Amino acid sequence: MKKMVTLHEKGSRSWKVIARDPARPNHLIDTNEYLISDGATSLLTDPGGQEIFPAVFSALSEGVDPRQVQWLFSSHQDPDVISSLALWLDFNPAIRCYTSWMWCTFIPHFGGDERTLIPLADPGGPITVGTLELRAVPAHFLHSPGNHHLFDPDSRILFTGDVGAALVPPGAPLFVEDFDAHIALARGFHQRWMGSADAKTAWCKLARELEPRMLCPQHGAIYRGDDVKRFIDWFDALEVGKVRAA
Amino acid sequence: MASTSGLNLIVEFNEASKEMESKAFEVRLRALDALVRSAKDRTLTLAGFREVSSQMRCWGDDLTAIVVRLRKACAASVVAECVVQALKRRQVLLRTARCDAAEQRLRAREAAVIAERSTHTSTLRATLEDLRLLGLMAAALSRTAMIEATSAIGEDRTVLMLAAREFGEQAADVLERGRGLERSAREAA
Repeated sequence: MKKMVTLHEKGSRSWKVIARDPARPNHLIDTNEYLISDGATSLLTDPGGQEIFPAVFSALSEGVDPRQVQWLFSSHQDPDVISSLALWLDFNPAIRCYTSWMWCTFIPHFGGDERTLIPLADPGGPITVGTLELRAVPAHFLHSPGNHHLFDPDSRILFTGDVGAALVPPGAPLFVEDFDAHIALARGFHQRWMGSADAKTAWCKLARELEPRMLCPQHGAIYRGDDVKRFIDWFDALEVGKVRAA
Repeated sequence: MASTSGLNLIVEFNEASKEMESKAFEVRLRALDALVRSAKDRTLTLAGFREVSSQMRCWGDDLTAIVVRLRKACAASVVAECVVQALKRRQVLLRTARCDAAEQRLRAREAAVIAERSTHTSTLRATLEDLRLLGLMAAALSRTAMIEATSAIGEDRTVLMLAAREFGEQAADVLERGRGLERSAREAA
C-alpha cells in the first residue's frame, strides 16, 4: 500500500506526500499525491487515477481524516492525474477542484458537473487553504497546453506536476539522492513530453524567481537542496520536443 | 458533510481506530507505571495490584490487536466499496446505452464484489463484538484495581487509585466509542 510521509510541518501547516505503492500493477504508472493542509482544511494535488483511488484513500486515511480534503488541484487533464474525481465526489460531493479553464468541459467526462471545477486563468492565481495562501503558477505546454503548478510561498515548496517526473524503479528513494543517476531516468520523458522550448525557458525563469527549496513532481523522486537548482539548470539546457530514434 | 458513499462509514471506523490506538498506548503506559510502582513494594500487600496492572497492560495489547484488525478491515472495505461504486456507475451508463448483455455481466460482477464486501462487514461486526467484550472486561478490571489500590498506603495509594480510575475512564470511552460504531453500522445497513 502507498505510504504518507510528511515533507514539511510548521505550526498547523503541512505538506505530506502519498507515494510508492509496491502493490501497484505494472501496467499503471506510479504517482505522487501531495496533501497541503492548514489545520483541518486540506487540498490534494493531482489525486490520481480511479484505479489507484483505494490505495490513495487508505494511505491518506492512515494519517488524516479524509473528510478534511475540501479541494483538489488538477495540474492538467490526464487520467493518471484526475480520473479518480468521480470517486472523490462520491465520498464528498462538496469537494471542488481547481484546474485550467481549458479542461473545465473535458474533466467532467471523468465525473462532476459545472459546480465541481474552479477554472484557473492562464496566469494562475491565489488558492486559499485555511490561512495558507498558495499560488497557482502557469506551466502551459509542460506538457499539457493548459497546465498549472502550485507554489507555497510559506514553505517554498513547488508542486511541479509532470515537470521533474522520472520513471523510477520499484523501491526507489522518495528524495533524489544521486542527481546524475536520477536525471538519466527523467531525460527521455522530458524530451518527449515537453514539446515547447519557449514554455520550458519561461518556466525555468519563473522557477528561479520563486526560489523553491523543494520541487515535488507527480511521478518519481522529490528534488531538494542543491538538486533544485541542478534540476532547473538541467531542464533549461535540455533540448525538448524530440522523438527518440527507435 | 453529506456523503453519498459507504466510504463515510469506513472513515468513521478508521478515525475511531486512531483514537483507540492512542488510548491503548496511554493505558499501557499507565499500567507500566503502576506495575513498576507496585513492584517496588517488597511485601505481599501490593501483589494483587501487580497482577491487575499486568492485566491492564494485556488489555492495552488486546486493544491494539483490535485496532490492527479494524484498520485491515477498513482498508479492504475501501477497495471493495470503490469497485462497487465504479461498477454501479458503469451499469447506469450501459443501461442508458441499452447494452443489456454488458450490463448483465457487470451486475454479476457487482454481486461477487458485494459478497466479498460482506465478508469485510462481518469482520468489522466481529471486531466490534470483541471490542464490547474488552470494554466489559475493563470495567471489571478497573473495579478490581480500585479495591487492590486500597491496600496501598500514602502516596502509593493515591497514585494507584488514580491509575485504576484513569484505566476505568479510558475503558469506558472505548466501550462508548464501540457502541457508537455499532449504531452507525446498524444505521448504514
